[in-house]
Amino acid sequence: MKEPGADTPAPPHDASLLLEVEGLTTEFRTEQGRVAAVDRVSFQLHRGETLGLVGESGSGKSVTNLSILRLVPDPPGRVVAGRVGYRGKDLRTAAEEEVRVLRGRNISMIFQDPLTSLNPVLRISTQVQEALQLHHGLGGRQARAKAVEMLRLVGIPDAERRADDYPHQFSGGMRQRVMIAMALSCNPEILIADEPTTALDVTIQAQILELIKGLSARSATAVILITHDLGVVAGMCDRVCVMYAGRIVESAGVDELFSDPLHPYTRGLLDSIPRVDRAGGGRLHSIPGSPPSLIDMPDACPFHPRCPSAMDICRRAYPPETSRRAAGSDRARTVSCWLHAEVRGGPTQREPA
Amino acid sequence: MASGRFSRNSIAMTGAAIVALYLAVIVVAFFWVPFDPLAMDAAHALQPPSLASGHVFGTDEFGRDILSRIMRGCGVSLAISVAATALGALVGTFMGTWAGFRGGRWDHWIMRVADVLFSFPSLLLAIFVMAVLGEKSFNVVFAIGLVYIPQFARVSRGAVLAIRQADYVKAARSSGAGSGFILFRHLLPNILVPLVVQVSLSLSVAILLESALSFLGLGVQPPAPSWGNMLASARKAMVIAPWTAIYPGLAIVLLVLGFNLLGDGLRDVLDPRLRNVR
Amino acid sequence: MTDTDVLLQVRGLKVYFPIEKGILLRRRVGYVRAVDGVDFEVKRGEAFGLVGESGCGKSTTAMTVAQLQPSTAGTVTFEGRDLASLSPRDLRHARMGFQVVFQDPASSLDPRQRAADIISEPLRICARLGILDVDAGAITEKTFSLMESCGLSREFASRYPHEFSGGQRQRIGIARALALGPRLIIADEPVSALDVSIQSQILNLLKDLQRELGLTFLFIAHDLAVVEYFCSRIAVMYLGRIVETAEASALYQKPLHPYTRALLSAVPIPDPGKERGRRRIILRGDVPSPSKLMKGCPFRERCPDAMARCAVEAPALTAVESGHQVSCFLYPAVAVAPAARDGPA
Repeated sequence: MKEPGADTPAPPHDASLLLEVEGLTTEFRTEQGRVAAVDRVSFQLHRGETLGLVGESGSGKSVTNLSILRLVPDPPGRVVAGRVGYRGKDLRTAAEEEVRVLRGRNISMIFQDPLTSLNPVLRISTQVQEALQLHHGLGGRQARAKAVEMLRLVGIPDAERRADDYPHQFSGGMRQRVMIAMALSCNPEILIADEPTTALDVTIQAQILELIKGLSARSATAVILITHDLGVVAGMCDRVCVMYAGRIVESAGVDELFSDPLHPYTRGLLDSIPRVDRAGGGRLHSIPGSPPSLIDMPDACPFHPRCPSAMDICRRAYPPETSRRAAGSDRARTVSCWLHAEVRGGPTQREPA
Repeated sequence: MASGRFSRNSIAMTGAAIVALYLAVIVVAFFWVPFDPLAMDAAHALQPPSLASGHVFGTDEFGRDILSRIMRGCGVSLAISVAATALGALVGTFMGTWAGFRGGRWDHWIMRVADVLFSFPSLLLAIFVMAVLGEKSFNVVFAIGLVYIPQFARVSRGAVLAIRQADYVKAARSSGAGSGFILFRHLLPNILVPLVVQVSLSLSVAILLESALSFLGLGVQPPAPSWGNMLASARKAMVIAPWTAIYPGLAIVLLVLGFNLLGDGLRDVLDPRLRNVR
Repeated sequence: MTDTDVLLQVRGLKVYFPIEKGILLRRRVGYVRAVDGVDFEVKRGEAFGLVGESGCGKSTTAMTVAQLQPSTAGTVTFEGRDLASLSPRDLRHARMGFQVVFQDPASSLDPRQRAADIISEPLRICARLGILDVDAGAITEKTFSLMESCGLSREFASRYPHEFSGGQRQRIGIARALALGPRLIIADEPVSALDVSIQSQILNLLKDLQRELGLTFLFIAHDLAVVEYFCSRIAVMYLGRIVETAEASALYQKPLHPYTRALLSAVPIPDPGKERGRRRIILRGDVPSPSKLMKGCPFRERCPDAMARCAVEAPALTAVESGHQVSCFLYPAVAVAPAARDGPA
C-alpha cells in the first residue's frame, strides 16, 4: 500500500551488474553432522544499489557475506559450491592472492561489534591508515592526512586531535564511524555491512544509517546490508533478499516486498513485528514453532513445520525458485514456495496475487 | 555425556593413560621392586643398563639399582605433589571464592595477599619456605602448596565473579534464597570445571617443583630415593655414566607430559560442551 | 484514584555507584549516577513501561525495585509497605508478591539444573525457609501446571537448558517467575535477546498471562515498538531521570520532550513509503557519561531546543495534562485537575 505522494524510487544509477552470486553453498562440519549454513544462494548486486539480506539468527546471512570474501574459517567451514562473479573473475575459485588484493580495496566489510573490530592497542589513526598504506602505497604523512579527512567525513568531531586516541576512548557509535571510515577509505565499489547498528542505541543507529546512506550515495558505492530489522531494511534498501535456514526464500524490490510479500515466512514476519506507527493492544500475529536445526537438513521446504499454508508437497521436496516480473520494474522478483510455483508453464504473465 | 567425549579425545586419553601407568607402577612398587633401592653394592657401581645383570636401567655411583629407585621414588614424588596441590587447591579456592563472593574490601585485600605470593618465582618461594621450616619431606608439601594458593585463588575468584553476575543467581535471590544456598547450590557446581582443569595442570608443575627442591637438597633427603635427588647425585657421574641422569629425568618428563595432556584434554572436553549451548 | 489501586510506588529513587581508584588504599573519586531521582507509580493490573537507551538507568531501576540492588536514596513501596524498612523475614514474605523475568535466556537459567528444578526452585526455597507450606507432590503438580500455562510440554521437564531454544528458555524463565503467585512481574527486557519471529510469541504469552492471572507489569525495554504494543503507560528515561510519563497512545501521538521526539523519530518503521517521507530528528553527539556532574538539564548538550535556562536549572517532572508529565522548560506547568499528581523534584 503506497502512501499518496510517496516517490517511486528511481532505478539504480546505471544498470551495470557488479556482483553476481550463483548457487553459493557453504558447509560446516560439526560433531553432529553436516550443516549447510549457506545453501544454493543466488543474488545480484548492481552499481550504486543497496541490497538488504534479511534473516534471523541461523538464517545464514552473515556466513553468506563471509563466503563472498572467502573469510569463512576453514576448518570447520568450507565454501563448497557456487560462483561469485566479480569483475569477470570467480572469487570462489580465484587465487588467494587475487582475493586478498580485493579485500579492503574493492570490497570492504564492516561488522557488528565495533568493540572487537578495532585493535585496542593501536591508535585510531594507525588503523585507518593501514588500509591506505596497504592498498594505495601512500606514505606516512599522506596517509595520515587522508585518514583525518576520512574521520572528518564520517562526523568525528575534532578529527585532527582525536585521530591519535585509542579505541577505548571512543563511544560505540563513534567506533562504528571509525569502522566506516576505514571501510570507505579506499573508495571500494562494494561495502558489506554486517548488522552495523544492531549493537547501537536507536538514536545512534539513526545517525549511522544516515551516514552510510549519504556516503554510499556520494560515491555510488553498492551496499550489501545484513540485518534482522525490517524497519532498517525499509529505510535503507532498494532490493531485499529474505533468508531462512541458509536459503533465500524471497527476493524483490523493497516496495514490492513490503506491500505484497509472497512467501509465508515474509508475510508472517511483517505481520508479527510491533510497530510504533500502529496502535498497540490486541494480539500480535505470531509464527509458531522455532527456526529449524540446520544439521543434515532433509530435501523439503525448511519452513513447512511453521507454515500456515503448508501442503503435502512441501514436506517432500524443496520448492524451485520462481521468477516473476512485477509491473513497473525492470527487475524480476523471485520466491521459493510451492504456493507460487509455476504450474501452468507458458509465457503468459500471471497477475500479482 | 562428558565421559563419552573424553574417550574420543585422544589428547585426554593419552594423558590419562600415562598417569594410569605411573599409578600402576606405584602400586606394584609397594609390593615388589627388582632390587632393594637402598642396598649399596660398590662392586657393581656405575654399571650400564643390561638385561643380563638384571639392572635394566643400570646402577648409580653406590651400586644401587636405578629402576628400583625410580619406582620407589615415584610414590614419594607423586604423594608430595598430590598433597601439595590439594593443599593449594583447598586454601586457594576458599580464599578466591570468598573474595569473589563477598567483594569489596575482602576481595581487595585477599587478592593483594595473593598478588604478593604470586610475585615470587615459585621455586624461590618454595626454597624460602623450606629454609624457614627445615628440610623435611613433610615441609615440601607446605612449600609447594603455598606456591599454588594464589593460582587457585585467581581461578576460583574469576569463575565466581562470572557466575555471580548471572541472572539465575539473581532469580534465586529474588525468591528469597540466602547466600549459603546460592553458594552451594549454584556457585560451586559451576566453578568445578575450571578448577578440575587447573588441578590437573598444577600437578604437573608440582612434580617439577618437588624434583627441583630435592635436586637442591631441600626436599627428600638421601638415601631415600626421589627423582630430584637422584639427579643431584648423578651430576658428578653423568659424563661417564649418562644413564644415571637420563632415566630419572625421563621419568619426570613423561609424568609431567602426562598431566599436561590430561589437563589440556580435559579443558577441551569440558569447556566447549558448556559453550555449545544453542 | 484510591491508594489501593497503586501497587508499586517509587519516590526519589537514587542509585549511585562509587568510583574508586588506587592500588593499595582506595579513594572515592566520584560516582556513577545510574539512577538520579526517579518517581513513578504502577497501578494494579496495568502494564507500565520504562523505556530508554543504554545507560539511562532503566535496568538499574528495575533491579532496585526488585530488591536485588541496594539503593542510595529514595523509597520503593509495594502494596503499601516500604520494602527497605522490612525485616529480612518480612522481606522474604513480601518477595513472593513480585518476581523478575530476565533478559538473557542463556544466562538466566543454571546450566546444571533441569527445567523442572529451575521452575520449582522458588517453591523449594520458600518451603525451606518455612514461608510456604507445600509438600513435594504439590510442588511437582504446580511445576507441571506452570509449564503448561507457558506453552511447555511436560516431557521437557527433565531436560537441561542447553537442549532448549531461546524462546523455550524464556518460557522456562517466565514459568519460574510465576511459581510463587506474584502480583507484580518485573520484566527486564524480556524479548530483546530473542529472534523476531519468537518475540511475538513471547509477547502474546505475557499478554495472555496478564489477562488470565490479573498480573501487573513493570516492563523494561529499549525497543519502543515493543513497549508501545505491550504497555498502557510509559516513562521515558534519560541519564538516570524520567523525562516524560504518559499513556501509551498519548506518548506516541503527541510526544512532548525533545528527547522523546528524537527517540520516536529514530525508530525505523517497516514501511518503505513512510520511511522515505520521514524527517528524522538526528541528535548530535553521544550520551554524556553518567559520572560527570552536570548542572541544569542532563539533555541540554544534545537538545535541538535548548535555551539559556537549561544550562542553569534542572527541570522537574511536572504535569502538563492529565496523566502526561514532562520535565522540560518548554512546557510550563499547567494547572490540572487534582486527580493528576505532581512529581516532587
